[in-house]
Amino acid sequence: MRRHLVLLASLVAGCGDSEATPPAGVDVPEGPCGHALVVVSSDYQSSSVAIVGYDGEVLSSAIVSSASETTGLSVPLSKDTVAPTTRTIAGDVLLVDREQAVLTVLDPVSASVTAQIQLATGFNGANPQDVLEVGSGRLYVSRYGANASPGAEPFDAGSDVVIVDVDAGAISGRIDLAEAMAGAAEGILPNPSRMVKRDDRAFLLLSAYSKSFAMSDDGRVAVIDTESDTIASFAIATGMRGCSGLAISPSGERLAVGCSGTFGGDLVPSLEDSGVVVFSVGANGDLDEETRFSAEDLGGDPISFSLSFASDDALMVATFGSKDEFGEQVRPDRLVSLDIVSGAALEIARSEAMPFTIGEVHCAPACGVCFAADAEHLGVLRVPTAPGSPEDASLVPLDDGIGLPPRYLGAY
Amino acid sequence: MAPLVLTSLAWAARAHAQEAPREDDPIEVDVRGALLPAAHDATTATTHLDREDLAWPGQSTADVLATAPSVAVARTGGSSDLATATLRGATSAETPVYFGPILLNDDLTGTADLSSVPPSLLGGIDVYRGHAPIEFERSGLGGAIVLRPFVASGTHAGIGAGAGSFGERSFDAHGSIGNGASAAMVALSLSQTRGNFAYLDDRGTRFDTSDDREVERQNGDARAVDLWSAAHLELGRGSVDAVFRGFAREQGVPGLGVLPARDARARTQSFLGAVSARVPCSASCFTDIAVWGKASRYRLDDPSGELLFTATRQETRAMSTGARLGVVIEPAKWLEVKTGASFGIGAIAVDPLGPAETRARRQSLRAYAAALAKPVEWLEARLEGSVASDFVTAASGSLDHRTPAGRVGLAFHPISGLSFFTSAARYGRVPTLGEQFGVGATVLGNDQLRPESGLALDVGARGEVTAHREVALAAELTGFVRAADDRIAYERSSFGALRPYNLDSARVLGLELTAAARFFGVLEAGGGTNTLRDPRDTSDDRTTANDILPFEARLTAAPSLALRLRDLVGAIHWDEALLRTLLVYRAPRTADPAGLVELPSQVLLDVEGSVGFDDGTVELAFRLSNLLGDRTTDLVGYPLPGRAGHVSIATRWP
Repeated sequence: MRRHLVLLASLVAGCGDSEATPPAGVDVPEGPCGHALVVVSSDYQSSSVAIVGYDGEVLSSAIVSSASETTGLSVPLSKDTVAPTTRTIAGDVLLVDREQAVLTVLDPVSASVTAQIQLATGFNGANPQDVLEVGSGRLYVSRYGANASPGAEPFDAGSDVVIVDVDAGAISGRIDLAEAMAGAAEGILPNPSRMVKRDDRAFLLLSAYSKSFAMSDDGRVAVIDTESDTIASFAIATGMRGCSGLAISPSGERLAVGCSGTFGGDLVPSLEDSGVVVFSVGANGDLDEETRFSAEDLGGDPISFSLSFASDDALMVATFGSKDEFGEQVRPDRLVSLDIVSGAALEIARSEAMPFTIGEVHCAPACGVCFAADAEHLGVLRVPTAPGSPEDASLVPLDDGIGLPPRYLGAY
Repeated sequence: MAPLVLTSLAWAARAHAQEAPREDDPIEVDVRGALLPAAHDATTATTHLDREDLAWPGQSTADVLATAPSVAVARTGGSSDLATATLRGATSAETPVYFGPILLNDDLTGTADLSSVPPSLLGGIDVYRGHAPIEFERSGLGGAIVLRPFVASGTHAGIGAGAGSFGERSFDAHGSIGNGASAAMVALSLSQTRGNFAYLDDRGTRFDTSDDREVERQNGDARAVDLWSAAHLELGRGSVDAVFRGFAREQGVPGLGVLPARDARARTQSFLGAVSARVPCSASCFTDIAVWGKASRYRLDDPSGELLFTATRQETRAMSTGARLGVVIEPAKWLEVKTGASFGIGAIAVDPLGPAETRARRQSLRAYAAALAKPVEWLEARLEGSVASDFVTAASGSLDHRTPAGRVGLAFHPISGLSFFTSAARYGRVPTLGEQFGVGATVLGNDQLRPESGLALDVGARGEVTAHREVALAAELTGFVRAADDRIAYERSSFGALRPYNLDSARVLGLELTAAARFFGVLEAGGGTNTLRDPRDTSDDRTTANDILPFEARLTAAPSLALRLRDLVGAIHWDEALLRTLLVYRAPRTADPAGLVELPSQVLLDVEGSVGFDDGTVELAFRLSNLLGDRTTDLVGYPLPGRAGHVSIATRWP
């Protein structure tokens, strides 16, 4: 009877408005790789963010999440939140809410949100993908989606890069990408996604799909002059489709593009247009293809949405597995170390039973370590990159008490 | 003989408030007394909402259902916007909703849009909590909701008009011919709304309240026309019921409140008809026959790509038809046996949806049998079973499923006014056509899906006490446990695509309390309901620490208090005045499996009043809804109307 009363009391107690315990901040001094790693976990219905040191210590298992503020018409962090590909110099944690088209600036020391900037400019599906710091308080934000009826608000065309003035908390300009789509098939949109930079050149990956995603074109990289905010040049990853991975080498002399291939709406993507293209970066940012690796070269699976340079000569690449009709794994996800010079591919890790669980890859070459989000084991794979050591990969469990699978990585 | 069981043909409710049920009325309005009306199955928990609960101006069918125990509604805006209902923690696809014998759930997503059936069309609603009548096409994992068409009684003509906040206007006219036993009616209803209620737009920046702004909802307008005809004919010991309906609505589709779609418009057209008959075959035998059909078309025009993104138009066409033949016999005074079979054909086409259009057909055949025994006055026992076979075809192939279901129930009546009941059952749900064949280029189907299955156990008690000549009390308490296995959930299956799998399982524990009291014929309390629920995700592959199922409030309550005054001023032929307050409370509930997104509690207070004159010749009514101005949502992103007022006037001749 007593047990039943306790159950009843707990049920009633669970009915009231709950108060979340505010998360503690983290104060990490800046090192050769920045402050720390940002880990975004999501089950595509809500999100939480952890901070992990480059040594593998979990500094904050949930510094901010979808529960950090009350839910109103929208949620604090939507199910589709990611961290930028590159870190900011200011030491803030930036989060891109792709569903709600909001850029969130988090002070990791106080664990408080210091700014939120709306990026939608009045239309649904702006779908911001990435943020790149191009100057003090000046950001580029790539917006994947196009506005079918532009003209109602400033900067509302979409499928572009918008320039954000962080201090003003507003969009201050826009870079149209039509110039970089020269020669593309009719109806193909830029669909800009990841960005990296070297000096005064920003490199922007263009995924190049039609509005309905029924057609695609070869992936491209637009080179943007960050002084004039104009397209300086562009390069085409000829024959590569579905490109969503972009990385720049530590020296800035190489740029790698990862492409998943053509998606035809069935279970088996084509592999002939999936692979990794490595460009050499010229003095003025011009790109020349140096080498490429097909999906077959990396084990016969499509390249995933993320890759990262472990060193100037080595890439860490993830590949997608597949499932059968019963939900069982047919092919595993794999994390592969790729020697760009020799072409040797070494498998570092693979999913045990659940494909689509090895997520974003983020390397910090100056610290000799790479990380990969591991949704299957609710943690982050930490992979030392010293010669001969990738086999020493270890799991950093988040143990955040929430249990959302880690998907995306960033840094600050 | 009073009907002991729900008969399959008895769906045309004529439960007009002033009309006493006939002795052999097959409609399952409760015979246990008016305080807690319920559908007539002593071994299960049911809720009956009658026309008096439905007839208030500005009220939607979802609003009414929100007052029933264990019902969770999800509204996306005003009364003309998509609204769904679920029961006992099931999903909307697992909760069948019927209009008469016609299943309203579409075969693409499995949901039923309650906004397409306004309360004015209904004579009552029966909510079968846990256990639906065996005759219906699908039983549902958490029960079923049956919307019963209204049939006016007697020979009358009437018109009515209504107005309300946000540009709400309505006009209706009806005529009926008949007597107390048989009647036929035809009715026309026109309605429109601007749907421009104000709401707080947080602009998607919940951490920054400085940019919040109150905005007026755009593109929420709607115009609808509804023409229907219904009839009930008493033919000796038999009867015939019929209903036909044509419905058309043109409306804006604003979508999410933060970034509303300004140009998206939708057109809905639907036609349905059903005829059923109860024909005596001997002194202790009836034959039940029913045929029905439904055709609908929904077209979404999205010229600015605000909702569809990949196309500017999407059209869904669906049709279904079916028939049922059953026999009810009484081999002994204490035993009733029924058996029957039904078949149905359905087709759906979505154009365009991804690279290939989606077209699929379903053929189903179902057989059922049931026995109800009352060997002694104090005991009722019920045993039911059915098996359904579904054969579905699409361009990509064909599939078939067989879904067994069964239930055993007992009811004890130890003393007058007190009953105990229990029921144990197994139910199933066949996958929707969308789950089997896909709903787009990135949301694939799975031809290996198994039907979902569920076990349910109810234990309850109900009682009614007349403490004093002028004081009556009634209550029903039901405890239930429900488990569902092989629940269908979407997961990423390959690069860029989602696919449904039989992944999840769930367990829901709950207590449902319904109580009512009447004092001196003028004061009525209750009709109020309380639900205490413990809905858990028991899936093997769940990784989240939280296991509470999303969108399930653990406590809901809907108490009401009504003052009813009759014949106070004879000089003006005042029939009755009714003043009622209704509070609907929902505790906070999560909106995601991890339990991070919490929807705040919901407190909706309504005040309603009506006054009738000259034996129903004129009736005036008003309703003040959401008086507390609760800024609330049922789903993240979809604001609900704030404080609003509604009035109506109806006249009838003679």
